[in-house]
Amino acid sequence: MQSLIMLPVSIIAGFLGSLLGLGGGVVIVPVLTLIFGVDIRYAVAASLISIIATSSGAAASFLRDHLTNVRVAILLEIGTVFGAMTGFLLSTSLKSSGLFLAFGGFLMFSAVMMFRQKKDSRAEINHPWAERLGLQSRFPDEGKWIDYKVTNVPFGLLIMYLAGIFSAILGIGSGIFKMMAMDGAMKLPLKVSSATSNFMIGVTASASAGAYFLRGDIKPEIAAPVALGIIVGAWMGARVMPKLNAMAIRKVFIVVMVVVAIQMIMKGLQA
Amino acid sequence: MNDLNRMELKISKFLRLGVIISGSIISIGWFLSFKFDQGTFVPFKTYRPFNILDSLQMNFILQNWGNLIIYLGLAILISLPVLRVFLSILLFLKQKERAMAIIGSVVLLGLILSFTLGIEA
Repeated sequence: MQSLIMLPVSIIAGFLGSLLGLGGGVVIVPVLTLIFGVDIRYAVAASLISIIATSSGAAASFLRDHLTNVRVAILLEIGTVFGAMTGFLLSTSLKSSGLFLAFGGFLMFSAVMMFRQKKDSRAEINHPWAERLGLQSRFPDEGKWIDYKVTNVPFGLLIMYLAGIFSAILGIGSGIFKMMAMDGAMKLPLKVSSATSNFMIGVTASASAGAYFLRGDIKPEIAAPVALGIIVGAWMGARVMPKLNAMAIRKVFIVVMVVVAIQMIMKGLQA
Repeated sequence: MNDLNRMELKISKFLRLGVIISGSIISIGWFLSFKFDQGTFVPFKTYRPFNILDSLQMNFILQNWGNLIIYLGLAILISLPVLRVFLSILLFLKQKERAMAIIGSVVLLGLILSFTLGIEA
């Protein structure tokens, strides 16, 4: 029965995640742990599966919109994949109370970041690595093509490594860190950063999901409804997104995130 | 759209098909596994290490074909990004972009290494 209830819950998680650009993990892990009492390690593993599904499913539409920078994605995947390996190894030595605290802290941080206004800034010159690998590109914005350059590549890679660690430990896409690396450090345009982040998330999640899968932490009873629900929910979210006032939903959700963050932290302190 | 993006778009469409296929397999497995459903997540309240081979074996003994089918669907889903990286490497090689092909290979190697961490970790 609980397995059945997880299906509509995951549909809602996928729907919200896609509307808010957060990915379903931020919703699924707290629901599984706080409401259903599932051990956080099983929740994290099931969540990673759903991230692969949404990222792989959406990649085509972002590419068609000429927003994804494939070269930047593959270069930065070096950082996230090795970060995911580190995260997986760390997770084996972390107690579940530590995981709850880390998740709560991450939610708080995400809430703060969502509150901040994002500003598009551009790089004037390419970093030498960007020059060598031809990372600069162009994207369509309001009917015009706009050229952009890529700077601070090594620093971006470092932030991506951290993003990979968080992804593997907490079962999230860590889109927020990926945005910090691309739009914050490397000065890629916002739209390009967000499309490229989505494109990469599947590879990052797969690195640790594969390890969790072989260790037997991905339980079919949990992963099946979560993966199916998130696929359906994310698809629905993408359909209605253009018709909704996402800003209003974001504001409501920030409050919810803070409340959930406090509960996760309390749970971590109790254990 | 340049050649690289055009080919990547093909790969991505192929991946979307992969998601649909694995999603269908998981749905079928989930449906078949209902009669084994214990109706609760209580068994997952505490973490017990139980590797994939033992899990497969146990489901085989219980004749829970549904769970085994779900595992198949999950394995396909997890392999999709690996396949994408592999196809991207071939694409870079075809376009004689050595540096990008090497970078892709490092990512692929990282993925494979990461998977092996799950064996008897």
